[in-house]
Amino acid sequence: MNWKLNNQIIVQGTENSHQMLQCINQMKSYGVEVLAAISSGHPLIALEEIPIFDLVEEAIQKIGTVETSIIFASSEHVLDVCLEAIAAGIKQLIIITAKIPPLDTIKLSKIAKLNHIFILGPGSAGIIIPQKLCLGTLQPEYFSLGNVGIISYGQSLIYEVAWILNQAQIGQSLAISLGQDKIIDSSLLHWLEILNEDQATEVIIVIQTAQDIDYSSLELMSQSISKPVICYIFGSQTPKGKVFRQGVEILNNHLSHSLPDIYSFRKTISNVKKLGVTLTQNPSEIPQLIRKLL
Amino acid sequence: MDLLEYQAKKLFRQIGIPVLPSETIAEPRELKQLRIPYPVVLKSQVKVGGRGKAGGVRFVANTIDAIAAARTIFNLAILGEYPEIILAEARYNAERELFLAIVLDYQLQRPVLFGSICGGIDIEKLMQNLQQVVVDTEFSPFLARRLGSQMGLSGQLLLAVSGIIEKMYELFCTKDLELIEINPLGVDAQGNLMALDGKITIDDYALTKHSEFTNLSTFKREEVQQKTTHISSFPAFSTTEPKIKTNLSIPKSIRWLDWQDKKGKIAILVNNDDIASLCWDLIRQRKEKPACAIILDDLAGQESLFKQQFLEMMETLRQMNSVKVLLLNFWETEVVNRAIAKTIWELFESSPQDTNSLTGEDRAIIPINDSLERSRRSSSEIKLDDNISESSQSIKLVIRLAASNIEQYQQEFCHDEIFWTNNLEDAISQAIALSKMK
Repeated sequence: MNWKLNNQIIVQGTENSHQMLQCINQMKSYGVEVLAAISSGHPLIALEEIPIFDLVEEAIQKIGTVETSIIFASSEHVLDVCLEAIAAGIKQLIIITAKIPPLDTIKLSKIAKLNHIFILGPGSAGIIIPQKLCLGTLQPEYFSLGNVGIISYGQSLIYEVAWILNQAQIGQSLAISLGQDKIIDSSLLHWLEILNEDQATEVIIVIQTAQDIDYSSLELMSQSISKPVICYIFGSQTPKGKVFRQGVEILNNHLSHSLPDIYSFRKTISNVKKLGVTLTQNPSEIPQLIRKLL
Repeated sequence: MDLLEYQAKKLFRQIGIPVLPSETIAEPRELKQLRIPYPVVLKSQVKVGGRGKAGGVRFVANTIDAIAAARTIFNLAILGEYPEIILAEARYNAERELFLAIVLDYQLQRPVLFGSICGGIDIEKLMQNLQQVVVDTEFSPFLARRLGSQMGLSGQLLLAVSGIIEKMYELFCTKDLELIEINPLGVDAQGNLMALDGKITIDDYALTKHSEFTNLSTFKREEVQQKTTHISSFPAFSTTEPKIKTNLSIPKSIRWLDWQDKKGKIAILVNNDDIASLCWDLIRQRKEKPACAIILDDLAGQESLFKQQFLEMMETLRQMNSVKVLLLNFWETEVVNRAIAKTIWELFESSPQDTNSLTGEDRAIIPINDSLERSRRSSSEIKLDDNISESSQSIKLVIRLAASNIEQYQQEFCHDEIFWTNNLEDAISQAIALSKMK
């Protein structure tokens, strides 16, 4: 089962109309058709030619099946509007809204899994396939068509990397923002597999922060992904503290009653290198690494 | 957001987790009206741990001792934090101390129940005996009993402890917690339980869902004025507080990250945390020191606010004395990029840096650093020494915008103290070179 991405979508969360409108206009230039906007009862705003409905199921009844919804709802409503979309038969959700209460995201993940729903986010800027598809808030003017896939959690560094690639006359096949929340439903491994199978992609770049490297995914990746992967790790020179994910680590850190030390990332980075992953901490090195790998 | 012990205990009381009679004290003389019988324990209400070892927990037998101890505690900073409140609590004789906690595990994406038979201040022993149960699907009381059994408990005590875990879990879910901890959970000779300390961390992302927590700082002062002991009905969390709605059109202010290097000469101004990390990395990889990082969230359509905040930020940077260069790196739409460029250029054009577009009165109020004052005085005299020229005190700007037509920016927004580029590596090099100039 895989993502079925096309140009026809609905949007949810009209209470954040400013952000939603900006995104819709941007996507329009890429040929994306917003077939309906769901207001969930919030005060209606005029959305030019886009029909507005209170419920997703009302919209689907009128316009027919739609695969994808892009969610702009406020963080405390996201779980509810996503559940509504799933109940109405939407199979793919791109959640732009960030900072969703983690317990909500966990609930959503469980239900998504049961119903075979694909989710990007929360806190995702969406996906872009240059000259083909743009779903989300990634600005198309910064991308050019090519053979390099980019996977990142946030969107800003996608721009920086794309810029460097463009300067070196290297284009992008696909760029995806997995989401900036601490708990996201998107899976790094899943998207690595998608890019691995994608005909247009020849090299994959994964962008991660030094304080929160998804080591286990990288381990699995080295076994299942055949295309060359470059891991760009940022933030190792910053004073940011390590992000603790495991319960025991969190508890240990919480109980240790001292000011947090600046965690040394050298060990983690050398472990990643031992996996045989091509690694860089400076994005300007990426073009030459690509030339070496291809 | 971390709650203080007395706030956590208030929630415990509401949900039925046993806690001792207690009163909150904002000033030592309030102890004269204490309604709890002595001996009493006075506890510093700070968010950091390790109060006991640092002397923030004291047992007192009478009012005079209590007031003296309170004075000491109020003046005791624990890991840099002074208490605003002291909690006075009845004394308790625990035969044993257990540890219970529920933590959101971000790896497993599930809440995890933790318990240790060795509760108390010996953290090493506590961790060595730590047990955990992952709440994988739905919670049910048998999971709590499983944890208790893993801890080595049985019979009545197992049931009692499970009951506490169930209530902790209920709080965890209904209040969107990140962490809830009872350490120690005291067990007396009869097998009764008492939560002797409590820690609760509410997930920041969930604050909009819980109006009772959004105004917690003002709430703290209010509730101290309505102080009662636990016997009378405790003021419940206010539900009349207006709910703060997340509204994306509310302008967010400039945010300074707590990365500071006093020797650093290059300040970073960006519109995203990740870009700040990138710029910081690049500067440090060249063995130079960035001074600080400032984030401007949500720029679109906030031009006048941006102007004001930019000026305030420049002033703060000037007062830092060491900063010579401000590096900007923005990723916005072309329209917004241009608006920012124009605004900054206009600010620089209209007001040369040593006046910073403030009136004379403003200058008198804001403390001006010595070197700036010296340069202003010296500019009126004829000076051949370059070191004290006016321009040496002004902060140069290196602005990186990813525009293909960057030459247009260079022409249209031309200024001695602003350097435009669309290449980040060049921007870094330029910033470093400028920071080394006298």
